[in-house]
Amino acid sequence: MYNPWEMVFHKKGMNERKRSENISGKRKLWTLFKSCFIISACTFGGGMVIISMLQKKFVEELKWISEDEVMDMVAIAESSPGVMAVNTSIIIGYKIAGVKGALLTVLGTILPPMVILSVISLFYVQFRSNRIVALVLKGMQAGVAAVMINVTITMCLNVLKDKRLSSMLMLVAAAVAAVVFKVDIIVLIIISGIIGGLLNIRKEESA
Amino acid sequence: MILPSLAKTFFLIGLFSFGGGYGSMELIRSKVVTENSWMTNAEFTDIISIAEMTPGPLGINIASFVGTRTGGIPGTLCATISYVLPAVIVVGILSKVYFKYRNLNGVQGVLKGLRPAVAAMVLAAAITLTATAWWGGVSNIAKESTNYVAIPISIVMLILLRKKLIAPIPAILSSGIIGALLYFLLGVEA
Repeated sequence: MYNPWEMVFHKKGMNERKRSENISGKRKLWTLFKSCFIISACTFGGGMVIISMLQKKFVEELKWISEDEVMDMVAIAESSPGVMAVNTSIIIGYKIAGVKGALLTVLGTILPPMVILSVISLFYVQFRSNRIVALVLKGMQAGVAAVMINVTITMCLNVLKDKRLSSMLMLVAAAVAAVVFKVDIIVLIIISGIIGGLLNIRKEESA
Repeated sequence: MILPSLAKTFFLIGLFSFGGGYGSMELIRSKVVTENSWMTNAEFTDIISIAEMTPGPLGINIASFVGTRTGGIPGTLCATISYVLPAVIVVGILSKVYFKYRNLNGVQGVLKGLRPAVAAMVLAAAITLTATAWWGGVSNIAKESTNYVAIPISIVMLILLRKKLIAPIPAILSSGIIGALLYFLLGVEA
């Protein structure tokens, strides 16, 4: 079967592959899994934090990946749907140990939150019925609201900063469609992607 | 059978999650709360609080929580794996394109074009979650259901966040502590 990954890292990865060959296969896989697991388990806060940790580990410490390759990897991870941290770990895993590596790094990255949230889920009802916990969580709802309003203000200001009428119209139209008309979010994303993409291409051509 | 609908829903969420954790929040909420009723808006807000304080991205936290709750351990595995599967496929395809042509302008153009829509979706999520905190839900907005403890806490935290005097995690944590104390003193039931 044709494997798109093959050509991706074939040329670029040669030197690094040679360098890391002196670590035996099994130990390398274990190190991959362990590194992703530890980074995922110990990192709080968004994607970029995890990415800088991955960079520190795989570029500076293990020297399995070069600085330039990291930039390429982040560009791909940013353009793919889903979680940045998971996307980056998929590329790192593949680059170092092929499909097996990619599966191991994904597993290492998703295992800690998966286990923690499963445990929380199992005890959620008892946890929530504790009066103090319930009051704290109720209090936190007010904080979550503040964080969400803050993110909304920042993102909307960023859109308005462009001073492009098309962006403003799209923002208003999408908000009305989602809030008032309850349009399915997936439909909304597809339509906005097509319109936004076309508008962007036209703008770049005229520039 | 819950597993096929978990798989389908979380695959779609994974495939259409753009704009980071906050950007994909409304997508997750609409599928998990509105469409499938796997959790309530209040529970969804709880998971956001919990997700901020535990490691891991929101999408995976929600997938694992909902999966365990609706289908036990098979449910967890099914939801979480379905959620990351589209990423594995798309990352593979984009890598191929990227290393062949050395650019992703088309994809990045679409993503840039999506930005206003992502802002709109964050706004939609903010409206629902704020209504949940202040009135107990969008359909509940009325003078009698107003939560006079939550509103001032949110406003103070928002001002502190805007002035960059506090980060999101401490803002949520301190809201929890201050809120719990006030609710306790006023004898409010959670």
